[in-house]
Amino acid sequence: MQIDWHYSWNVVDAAAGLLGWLVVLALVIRQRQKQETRRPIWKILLVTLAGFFSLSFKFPLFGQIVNMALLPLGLVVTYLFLRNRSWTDYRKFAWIGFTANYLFLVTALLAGFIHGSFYDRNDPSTYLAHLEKAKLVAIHPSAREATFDQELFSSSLAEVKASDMSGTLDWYRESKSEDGTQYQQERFPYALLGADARWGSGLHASAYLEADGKGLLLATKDRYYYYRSEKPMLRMEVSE
Amino acid sequence: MRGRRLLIVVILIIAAAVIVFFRTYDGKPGPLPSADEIIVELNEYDAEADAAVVLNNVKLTAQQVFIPFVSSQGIHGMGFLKWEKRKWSVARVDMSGRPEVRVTDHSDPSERYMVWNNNPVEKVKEFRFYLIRDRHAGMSNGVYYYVPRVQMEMLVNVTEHPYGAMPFPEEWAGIMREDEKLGRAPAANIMDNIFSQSFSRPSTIYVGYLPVYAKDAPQLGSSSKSGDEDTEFLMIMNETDLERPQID
Repeated sequence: MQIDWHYSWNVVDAAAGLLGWLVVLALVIRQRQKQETRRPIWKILLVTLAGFFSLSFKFPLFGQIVNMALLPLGLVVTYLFLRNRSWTDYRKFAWIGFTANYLFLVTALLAGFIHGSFYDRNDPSTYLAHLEKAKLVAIHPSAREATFDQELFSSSLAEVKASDMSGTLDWYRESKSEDGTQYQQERFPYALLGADARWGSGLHASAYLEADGKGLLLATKDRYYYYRSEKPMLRMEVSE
Repeated sequence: MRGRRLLIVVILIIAAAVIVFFRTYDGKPGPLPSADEIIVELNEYDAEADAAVVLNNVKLTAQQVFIPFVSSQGIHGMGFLKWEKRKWSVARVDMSGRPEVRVTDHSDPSERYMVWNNNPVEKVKEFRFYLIRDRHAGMSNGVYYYVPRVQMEMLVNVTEHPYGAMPFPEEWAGIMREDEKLGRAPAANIMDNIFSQSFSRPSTIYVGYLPVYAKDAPQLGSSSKSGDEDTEFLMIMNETDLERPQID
């Protein structure tokens, strides 16, 4: 048995999706009760689902990618299929299906706002909430001996400050230029593996720690975050 | 009448399902064939294999076995047996014996092995295996990024282990999993890519090795490899591909 390693729930999105479908279902049932000829419910649901399919495009809105439905493709196909038969009985349901696209657009936007207020993307502890299974791995030969202490790490994580990342190219050059003191040294020679983000956030970040133990680099799908701490976040080997 | 027809259809469906099941069913792995039988099978699979001596059989998983062998001309090769459709069959034969990665489960990076069967003629003292990801930095779509370099090392004493199958280190697999998590492209089509805020991450992670030869090693030509779907090739590296930091 193999669990999917990438799988991480975004509870807010899931709840919004569920809510959306429940609303669609309620609309369908109400419409069915209004009509005189009651068609079998499974056919009605099939038509609704067909109406849901549309030509759409995605665009960014309020920091999210939303899906905007344009052409009711499924509705047209259903019409061509049923025009000589029972189109009048099913027409409304196909339209409910198509309108559901906009309903989902609204719930997705709403979910985005709610998610943002629940889970602060700029706070490193959102990504590094569960450290029980966390393990420090030296990923480069320039890493000195260091050990991960969960208590020390958690307490210093609470006090880190967001720091300037505009020098990344300089970091890169320092490691590459032969006359520099940092030549062939890695600025972030430790990776922190196995830390989980807050439950239900659906977020994930790869975490790297700086050579002096005082810097934290988080890599997420969308962007990178860099934090500095006053004191080392790891137990560093004492250099004499 | 209608009932009988339905019965026939149901019986046909069940029969088809049974046939499909037994054609694809792998069953529990039986005992390995004997060394002589393995030699016959390897030579049947690849006439050039010319296998003469089976050095060992190394179980990678319950269904996959690594067979380092020597040909009658003294060439060191690698055979891989797989339990499939209720019998052991040859999945691949490699005639170079040079290191490669054998993937035993594609869904998890830790389910893989470094395998080799070194010919003593090459006088290799040591294989140094590396997990490498290049350092990257810059700005993309108004976002600064920095990808730390990964350079992790694992040494194998070839004099002591002329052939072997070494499980992928858990730490390496951990790094690869992290890379996969971020690398999975969230955008599915071109339209998405135009607007999407995720930027192309130029990080590629790879596994390589560097053979350390004895002083009196002969100059040998390179050999090419071709693999099956469970083979991953290793980059052959030079000393200059590696960073050697001065530790003060």
